[in-house]
Amino acid sequence: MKSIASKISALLMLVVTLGSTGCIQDRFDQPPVNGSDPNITPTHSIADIKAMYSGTSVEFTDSMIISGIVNADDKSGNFYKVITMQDQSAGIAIRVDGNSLFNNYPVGRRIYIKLQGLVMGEYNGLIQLGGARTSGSTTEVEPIPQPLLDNFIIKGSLNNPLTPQVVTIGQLNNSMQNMLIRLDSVQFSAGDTNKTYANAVTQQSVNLTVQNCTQQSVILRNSGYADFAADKVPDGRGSLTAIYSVFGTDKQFLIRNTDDVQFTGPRCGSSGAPGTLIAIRDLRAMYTGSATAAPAGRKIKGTVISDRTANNLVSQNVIIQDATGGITVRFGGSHSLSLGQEVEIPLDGGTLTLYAQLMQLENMSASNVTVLGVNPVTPRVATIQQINDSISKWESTLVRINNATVTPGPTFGSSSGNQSMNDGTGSITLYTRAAATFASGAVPAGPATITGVVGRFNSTRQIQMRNASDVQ
Amino acid sequence: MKKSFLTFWAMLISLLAMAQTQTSRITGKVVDVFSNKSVANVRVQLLPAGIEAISNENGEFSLKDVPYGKYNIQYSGEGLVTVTRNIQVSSPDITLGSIPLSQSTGDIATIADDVVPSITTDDEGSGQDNSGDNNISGVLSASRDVYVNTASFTFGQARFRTRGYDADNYVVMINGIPMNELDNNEVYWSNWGGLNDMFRFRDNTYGLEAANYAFGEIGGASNTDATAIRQRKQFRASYAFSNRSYQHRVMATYSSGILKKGWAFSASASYRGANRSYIPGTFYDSWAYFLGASKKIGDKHVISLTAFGVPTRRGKSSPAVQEMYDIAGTNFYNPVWGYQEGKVRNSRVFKSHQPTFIFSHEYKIDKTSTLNTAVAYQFGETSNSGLNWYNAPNPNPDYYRNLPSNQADSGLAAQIYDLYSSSEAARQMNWAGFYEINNNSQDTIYNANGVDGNTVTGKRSRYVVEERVVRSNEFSFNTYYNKVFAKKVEFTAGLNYRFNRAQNFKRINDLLGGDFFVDLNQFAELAFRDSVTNQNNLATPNRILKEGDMYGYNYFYTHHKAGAWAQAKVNLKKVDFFVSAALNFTAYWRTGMWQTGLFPNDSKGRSETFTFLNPAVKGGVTYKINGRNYIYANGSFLTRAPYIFNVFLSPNTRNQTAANVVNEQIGGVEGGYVLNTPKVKLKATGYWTRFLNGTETKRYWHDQYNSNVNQTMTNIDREYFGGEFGVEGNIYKGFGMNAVVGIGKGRYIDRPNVTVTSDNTAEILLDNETVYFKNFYAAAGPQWANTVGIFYNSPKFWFVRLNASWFDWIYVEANPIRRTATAVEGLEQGSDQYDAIINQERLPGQFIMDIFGGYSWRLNNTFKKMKGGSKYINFTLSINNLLNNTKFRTNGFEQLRFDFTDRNPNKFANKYFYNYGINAFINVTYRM
Repeated sequence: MKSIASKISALLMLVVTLGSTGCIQDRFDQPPVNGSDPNITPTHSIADIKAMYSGTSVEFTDSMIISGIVNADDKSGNFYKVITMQDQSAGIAIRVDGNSLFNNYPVGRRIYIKLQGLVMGEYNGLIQLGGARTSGSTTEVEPIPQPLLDNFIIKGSLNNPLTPQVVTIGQLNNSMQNMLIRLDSVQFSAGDTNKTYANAVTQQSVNLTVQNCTQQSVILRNSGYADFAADKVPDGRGSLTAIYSVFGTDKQFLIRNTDDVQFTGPRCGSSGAPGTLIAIRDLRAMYTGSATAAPAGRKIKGTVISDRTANNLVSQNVIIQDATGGITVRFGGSHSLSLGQEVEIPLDGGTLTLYAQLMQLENMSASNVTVLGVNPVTPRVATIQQINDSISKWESTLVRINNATVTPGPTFGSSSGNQSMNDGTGSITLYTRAAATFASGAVPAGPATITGVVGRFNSTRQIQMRNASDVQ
Repeated sequence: MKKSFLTFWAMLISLLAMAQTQTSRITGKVVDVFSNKSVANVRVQLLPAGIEAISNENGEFSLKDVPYGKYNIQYSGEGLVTVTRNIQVSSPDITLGSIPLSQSTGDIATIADDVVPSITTDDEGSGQDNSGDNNISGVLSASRDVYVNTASFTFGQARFRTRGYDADNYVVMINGIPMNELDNNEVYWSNWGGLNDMFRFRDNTYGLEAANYAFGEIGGASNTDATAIRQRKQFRASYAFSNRSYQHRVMATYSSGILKKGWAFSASASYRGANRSYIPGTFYDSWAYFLGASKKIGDKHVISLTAFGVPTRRGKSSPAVQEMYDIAGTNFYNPVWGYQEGKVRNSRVFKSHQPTFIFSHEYKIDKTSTLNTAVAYQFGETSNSGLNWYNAPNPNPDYYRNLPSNQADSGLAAQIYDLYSSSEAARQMNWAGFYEINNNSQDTIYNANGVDGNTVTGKRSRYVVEERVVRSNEFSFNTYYNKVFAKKVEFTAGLNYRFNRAQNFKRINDLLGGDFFVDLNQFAELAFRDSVTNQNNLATPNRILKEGDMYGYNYFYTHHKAGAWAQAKVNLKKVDFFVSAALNFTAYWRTGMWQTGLFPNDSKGRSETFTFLNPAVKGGVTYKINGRNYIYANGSFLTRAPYIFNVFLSPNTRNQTAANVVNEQIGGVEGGYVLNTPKVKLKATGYWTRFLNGTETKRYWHDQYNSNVNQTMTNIDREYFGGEFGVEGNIYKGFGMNAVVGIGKGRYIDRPNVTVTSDNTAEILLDNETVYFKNFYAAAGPQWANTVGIFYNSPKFWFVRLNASWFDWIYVEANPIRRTATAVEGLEQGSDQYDAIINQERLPGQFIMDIFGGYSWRLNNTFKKMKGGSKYINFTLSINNLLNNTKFRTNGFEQLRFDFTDRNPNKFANKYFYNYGINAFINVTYRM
């Protein structure tokens, strides 16, 4: 037994001593990671290089170096097979046949491009660098294949800050291609506010319209492959930070991710207070029978159907109409709202009352009103009988009566302004203030088309014209 | 003269006139390549004639009044890849049939295959890495059969497969316990390599001969008796040096022989190592240990306990396309390693340690009957490492998109060629690049580990090294009873049972400088942009992974296999015959441990249980013409359960199985002549075997679907037939010659069906398409191998053998997708492109020379004063491929991906394995 045991242990020792070769390919030294800029000085600025392009692709045969900071990467998927970078002078795109480029060339990395051997061309007006000329084209270039990237692109330090250039839409021009630009006070057009950034289902790219408050617009183009493609776009107004690009005559922007879209403020023309819109009809329905406070946090939006310049109503009043109805609004003093303007009026502080049976919204402040634009109202064509039947529903709205005969005359202002109008279905008072500019005008001789606002004065039902053109 | 001249011209002119006025009508139908739905508004143009048509809502189009001639026909449409083909118009009505078009991914193409790593299980060819010098032929060496002995010795290096059979057709046993893996019936030699000294007593049967310890498989069987009691008293220590898979081997073995009180002990240990094996980037690091003890109890019983294990680490290689071999300037280019801080680091490391314990009992009941029983337990882990990456560029240096042949511009192709051919680092893995990217990858994970508000920030690894692990426990039992009646009839009957439970999972091995990795399914992430479908384990979504953590997939395979068999051998004066029968029962199922986001209803929990009952019969007759000549014939028929590996379509993600799970039917006959004289040994055999209704699944990465894809072939019918011839004779005194020929054809004899499914969805990409595979070669490796050798055995205890061999009929493994109607749709039969797609490449035949020699030096003869028994030093030297033929492709395979867009079979070109150049093995053994 002993001899066997000793023989076995001798055997094991023999094997161990002869066989120890250490750990083969087991422990590896970790490579150091480089974070600093290499000692390279660029020979040209990006603008210098772009200036060399004059319509046909250029091949760089001399040793030239440009340097810039990467301003967009493909991390979100909105960019594809391209590196865009900029220096102080300009920006440029480099076509690369590779994916997940953000791993090596993230936004903020300084890179140096050794131009010798590369070519510069364009794609529908957008200047880009590539690895070779595209055969059959005088302007297009092929992307640089992934294995060759280290031959042409030297990686520098990371997290370099990029300051976007702040410009207006009108200032955009071709020299800003592939630079990081910021537009302030812009929003998506009203039609685009219900959309998503792109079509994530079919993975198709979508062009959205970004506009400022003076109706100038540009395209925001988003890829269906972006990870934010299915996100809904914000409907506010604010700043857009993105890469400026061109496609033929189109001016377009490309965002890196949705952080570039900061549309958090109110849209063009909307009032300071957010407020929820309510229909004028709903506001009228809130009247309780005695003075009623208008709901706070609400606003109405409608078109001005009264004409202060013709003076057929007191200067503190304005009549507003929306799709659901109309209302007379009374301010503390005169206002400057014009016929046809679309306005938004926050209701906070207002009171609904009846003035000689005409409902009014009082205690309003003209300075709170926001003018949105111009949006004229088409008058409702009706018979006098219909108007009399709907006098409450149609109060403070615009109507048009055909074949109306005004009696007795001779002027609109006669009989203290109370003329009678009849179209064969019934009659109604046509009231004109003495101060109205057309008060001394003659009433029409025969039947005419009269346009005016439906109103009441105690028990009298009446129509009030706005100006002389309301008689046809 | 003039008349015939004029007549000739008249005829010619009229012919031309006819030709000019003859026109054709071409019709066809445009469909989507994968859904087969018709595509409208496709513009079909004949160029340069300018005749065109637009397909209607049914995809139909018709080109009218097309003058005869040769054109290019071009199909283009919105969102479709433009396809151009040649067309020869020479008949009045041409029906093009269905033309498949694929969706254009265009300039906003999906980016997945870069971002998601490819699964390489089948592209590598399972088990086909250049490992070990004892490969499949190990089972057959040391056989007395003149064909088998030479075939294994000389043909093994060329990866010759006896009879063309795949490696799942041989049963290998140790002490009566089968060593074949239950899930695919293959044998992993790494589990006991380095223990050659203990595995010398092998009982081999080849083909359909009867074995004494098991029913056997269609290719043969072997049982090694490694019990301590069988080893005679000896001590051996050896050292070997080689340039094959390992450089150094040290081995020591001791056996006590039978001691007093009936004990016997054996012990063996070895180490095989290489910092660099033959192929660059590969390494070998393998220990082996063996302990055996036996006790004789009385006269009738012997009990033995045998334990062995081979803890191994090995760096592997991967085959490449010929373009890369040419660029690298060597046929031994290996893409899976790279330099890290000046040292070679291999990304594909194989690790294995599966210790085996066998308890055996031999019971000599009486002089004519014995009962052998063995019980075994094996456990352990085997893993294969590889790179995994997330949203990062594909790290494989031979990635097809980066190859010069894939560049549109020839100038850029030339630049890549120059870079790869001049810089070794450029064509190997860039480890420093992975560390750099991981270091710069700051990321934040919200709701990490499924905990609301748990935000983790740090360096998120984009590249990691992962290990795909199989951890298994196996229990086996085998007993067989043998009785001889009247010295003429030998009856054997046995019962066996195996149970295996294997856990399949993967884990992070190295974060490569990062702080964490995240457990997400990238395949699903690209298809479904939400944060539920991409989870591998819904129980802990967004799991943060550190080194050693299990992730990705986690499931168990449970296997039961039980069998009973019986055999009767009758030895008469002139005739021997035998008959055996067996019945096997197999049951298996999958149990998923994690509920995945992709298949929430089908991933966790137990799959259906599959059970199979497989009968088998075998019989044979040997007619002894006289003591030296006999002829024999054997036949067998059996059914075999499909392997669990082929039945589950995507075991990593779900329990879904192939639609039709059926037994394979195997039948074969063999017959031959044997001559056995002292001077000449000769064996000539013919064989014919059929495998019907087989099932096979291969897996690969498909970038059009951003997913791992499973290709399952069913109804596979194969036939192998051929002949084997071996002769060895002593010519004069010690000189002799041998000659061996193995020739056969292993082919598909009918058309299987193929179904392709994606890991991403339950969608069926190709539904039961017919594979036009008839007569294509199914056998891998050379199907025709010849060797002629001369040898000399000197009475002075040395010998030398020299062999010259020729290997031919080597066909690459064919991809079934290339032989479907879809793959060649619209192409003209017999056109160059059609042929390029369907032809199975044949590799050229090769010539190899080997020399093997040895000398046995009896130390006592030299040192006359030595005491205590004979002591020897044996030297052996073998040099294979003496002429350094480095152009020998022993095997190859077509990549499973096929370029449906341009139908260019060279886009995913064939990959090849090259045989080593000149390689040697020198061994010195001291024994006593």
